[in-house]
Amino acid sequence: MNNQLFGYDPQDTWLHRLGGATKLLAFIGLSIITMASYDTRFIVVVMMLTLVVFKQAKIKWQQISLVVKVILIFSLLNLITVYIFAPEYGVHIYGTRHLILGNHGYFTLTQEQLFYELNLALKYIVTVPLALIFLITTNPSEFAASLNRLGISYRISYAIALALRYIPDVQATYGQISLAQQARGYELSKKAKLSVRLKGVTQILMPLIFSSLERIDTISQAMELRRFGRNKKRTWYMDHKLSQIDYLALLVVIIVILIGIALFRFNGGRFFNPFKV
Amino acid sequence: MNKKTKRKGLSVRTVVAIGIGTAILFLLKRWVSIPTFFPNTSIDTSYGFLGFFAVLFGPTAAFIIGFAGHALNDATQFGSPWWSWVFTTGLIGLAIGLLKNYLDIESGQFGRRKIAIYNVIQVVINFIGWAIVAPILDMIIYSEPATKVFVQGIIASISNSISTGVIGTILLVAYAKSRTQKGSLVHEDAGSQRTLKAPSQSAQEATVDTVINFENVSFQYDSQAEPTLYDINLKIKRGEKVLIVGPSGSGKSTLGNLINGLIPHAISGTLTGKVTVAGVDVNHANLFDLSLHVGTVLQDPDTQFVSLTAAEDIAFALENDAVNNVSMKTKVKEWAAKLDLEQQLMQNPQTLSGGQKQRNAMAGVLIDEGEILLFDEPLAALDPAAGEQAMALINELHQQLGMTVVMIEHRIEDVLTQPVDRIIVMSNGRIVADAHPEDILQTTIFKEVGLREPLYIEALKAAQVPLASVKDLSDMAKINSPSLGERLQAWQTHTTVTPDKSNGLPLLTLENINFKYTNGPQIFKNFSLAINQGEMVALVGKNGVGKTTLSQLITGFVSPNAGTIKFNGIDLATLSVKERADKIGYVMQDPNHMISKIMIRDEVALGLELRGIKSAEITRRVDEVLKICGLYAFRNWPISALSFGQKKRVTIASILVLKPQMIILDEPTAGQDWAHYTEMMQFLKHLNATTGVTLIFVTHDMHLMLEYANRTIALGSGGILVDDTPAAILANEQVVAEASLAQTSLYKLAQRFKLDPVNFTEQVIKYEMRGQNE
Repeated sequence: MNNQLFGYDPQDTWLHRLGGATKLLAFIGLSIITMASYDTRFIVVVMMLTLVVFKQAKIKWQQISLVVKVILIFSLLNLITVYIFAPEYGVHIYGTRHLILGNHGYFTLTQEQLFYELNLALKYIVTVPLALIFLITTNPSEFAASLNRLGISYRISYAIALALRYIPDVQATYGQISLAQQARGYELSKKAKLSVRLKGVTQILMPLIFSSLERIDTISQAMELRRFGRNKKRTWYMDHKLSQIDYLALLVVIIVILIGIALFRFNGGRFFNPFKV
Repeated sequence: MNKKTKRKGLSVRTVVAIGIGTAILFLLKRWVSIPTFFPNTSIDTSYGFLGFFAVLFGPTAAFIIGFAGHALNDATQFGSPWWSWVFTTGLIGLAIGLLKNYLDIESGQFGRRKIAIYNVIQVVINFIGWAIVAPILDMIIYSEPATKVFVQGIIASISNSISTGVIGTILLVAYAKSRTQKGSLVHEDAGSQRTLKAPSQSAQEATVDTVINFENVSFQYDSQAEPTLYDINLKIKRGEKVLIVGPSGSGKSTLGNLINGLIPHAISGTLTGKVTVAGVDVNHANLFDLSLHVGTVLQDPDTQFVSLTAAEDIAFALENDAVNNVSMKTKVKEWAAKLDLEQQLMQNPQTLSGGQKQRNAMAGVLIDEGEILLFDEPLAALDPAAGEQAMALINELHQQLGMTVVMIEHRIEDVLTQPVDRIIVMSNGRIVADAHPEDILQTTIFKEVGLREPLYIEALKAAQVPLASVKDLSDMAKINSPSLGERLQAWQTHTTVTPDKSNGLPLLTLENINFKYTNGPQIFKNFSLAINQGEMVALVGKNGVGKTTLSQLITGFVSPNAGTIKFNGIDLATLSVKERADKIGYVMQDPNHMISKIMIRDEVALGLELRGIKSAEITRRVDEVLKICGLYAFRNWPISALSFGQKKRVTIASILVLKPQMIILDEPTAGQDWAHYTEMMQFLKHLNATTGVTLIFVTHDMHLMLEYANRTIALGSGGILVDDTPAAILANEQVVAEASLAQTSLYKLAQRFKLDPVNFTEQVIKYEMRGQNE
């Protein structure tokens, strides 16, 4: 059952028992509100909350170490480029200018810019614990069922399940094809010129994609032979009935979202401005 | 696509296209992007693929593929989707998908002009998407400064336009080429119409007992120039167990698809005559209702197994019938118990063995409790031992449940390890024989149509035992006739076998190899092996024991953790994959994984071109190889018009042209009937004799091993189990069990009549091979 790619780790915490639909809703709801809000206090509180929940999911560091490193490097690069392109963007947003370093040149350092970039960094990472909780505690088989439960058509839900099912197969096929083409003499390593590599990659894509087209036909026949698409509805072996704990979790999420919305009114916009006196 | 399967919502084919497309997009995004000279940007090949799938499957599919594939990639890489880009990818797919009708890709009727216009439009779409939509979304969602996001967007729009433009266009052109030429060509063997003796139809009136009835049925695929089935009349009674055999292209699979209704409901063509299955007229019923009567187990277990776990796959039909969760779970449990799958219920398909996958597929159709069970080449994906078990299981189910069982196979000997009621022989789209196995085995019909007779029949013929005098001819365990034992013994003693061991010098040596996949078990430990110049070696063993890994160690696809591999005294570790390929060719099991060109000639020439050889020299060598491989007549054909076996020959040709000293062939005969099998193997044997090329076959085929290998290496979990002559290995019961092989009928026959099995087997094979050479 362990789908390596998705990182699902079967355990028995209350988060694992929570329905996939609940977790997906919570993830989407909290993502939207933390994306919309630029109230630092709110984002920090939500992040603390998700970190507490994260701890309860009993996720081990090695499961997430790589992802955390990637997101940190990615965020850092983005923050630097933002600074290079617009070192005074914070001043523009908050309307004040508290200079720390530099005076005349293009690159100045202001408290406003630092505060803006802190907010940006928070935004990049605030949803990461939520996403990881979702990925690591949700059984991929239940995922499709929960999409369907959220009102997405069962055909599309099943298409996503098929993607998860066939990713390892496609990956194995790709590995085989790539090696076979290299053996025939395509150079794909960094030594080759860009145009040569582009050509080589295309030659790998051809067999991969054309054999996939045949595969699509046989798989759809196999599914029709077992009546996929016959009815308007479909049931799911891995379906999860919503229980009290699901409703409770959703209630908490709704409250958090409402607080976020209330803060828009209170702040008079998306931004919380500590520089305004 | 037939009208009847088009319902509200997406068609099943589109659903599958979205699923596979998302998987491919995810994979390409993750692993196949080429960094450009700009820092932090790359030509993301996934956009070329998305553009192609968009015009193939339309805007809705492309939107979901783009959105879901991108979100999955981000989620597994950064923990969280980068929403602005995820949406943009989806929208670009959607926009390009709107070109579907403009290009009319299904007909393949579009030329350079349309492709040029497509390219202009896709550049515009990419520009709008990446340089305008994505930055605006970035600004809204992340409040990033405009200068940063627009510069970033313009770079992305350039690299993604290149990806869609170059890769998308190449794919489109290739697809169009393969579509337009497919229908206009006829298969090489479709034309020759042999006259064979009239079918010995057991003429029965249609009774209530007839569960499958074909009346004057002919069928022609839309993509073919000639009918595949001619005037078929066939009755199958309730509770019968029937074997349908025939060489490839004989129409046996088409016949099967008429029984389960895939024809005409999912595969289009012209059908005349009347097919009735379980009292239902197939032409007027729908596929779904028919599936309640006929359970079909397809040839490839990986396409049949569509769910994430075994339990879900067993439940798949019930899920689609919207059965409630409680009774679904009870039924799954019940069938899992019957087919011994209880321990595997929560496993994913990648961790199941071939036999388990097949049992799972059987459970998934048996759960419907229909009255007919149809198997399309049930032995194709199994190792010999699993195949034998599968036949026993089918027999048991047939007896217990009283279902009608129809099996389509060409490996007659392996099917006949269990009794069948009737064998139907097909050739060139007609039924040429239809009778009880006893009667059919008396004739020479199998050989006439290009199928292999069971080896024990061959042995009886060799010993000149009159078949008419033999009782229980179809049952090896009971077969007998007056003085059968004496006759066989007498024949055995008057022929002698001369051992033909090659005494060449070691060509390839592996010394103390250790190998283990990261996060996997130790596969080889202190593994040593020497292969001599000019040998024909069969490499056998249970699935997963490391046969493929061994081939990949030799070809350099994977590297050993310790130990050395030498070829002609050269340490292979010093050579790249490409350089090794000049010396050691590797022919993969599935030719579709190797072929990357549209035309046969280009495909064979590819390796030489990439090695910078002059074009006159290329032409000469390619022509030579095409002639050797019997492909010269087709040299200017598109590969898509070839049969599976012919494609396989193209891949062998494309390896041979490089003049390697050794060729490793992975299951060279899989999916080939006896005529093509013999042709291919004789060709390889001839090659071995004339050029001295060393051949290694990775195989499950016991016949192949007996007939063509002069040495067999059986791998076990602890390394080499035995290294001996093929016949000796099959006589070793312990090795047979450990390597998951199966004893041939010859061995069983020899045992019953107290003959020396090794000697007897070798003699019969010699006799048989002589027959083939003549």
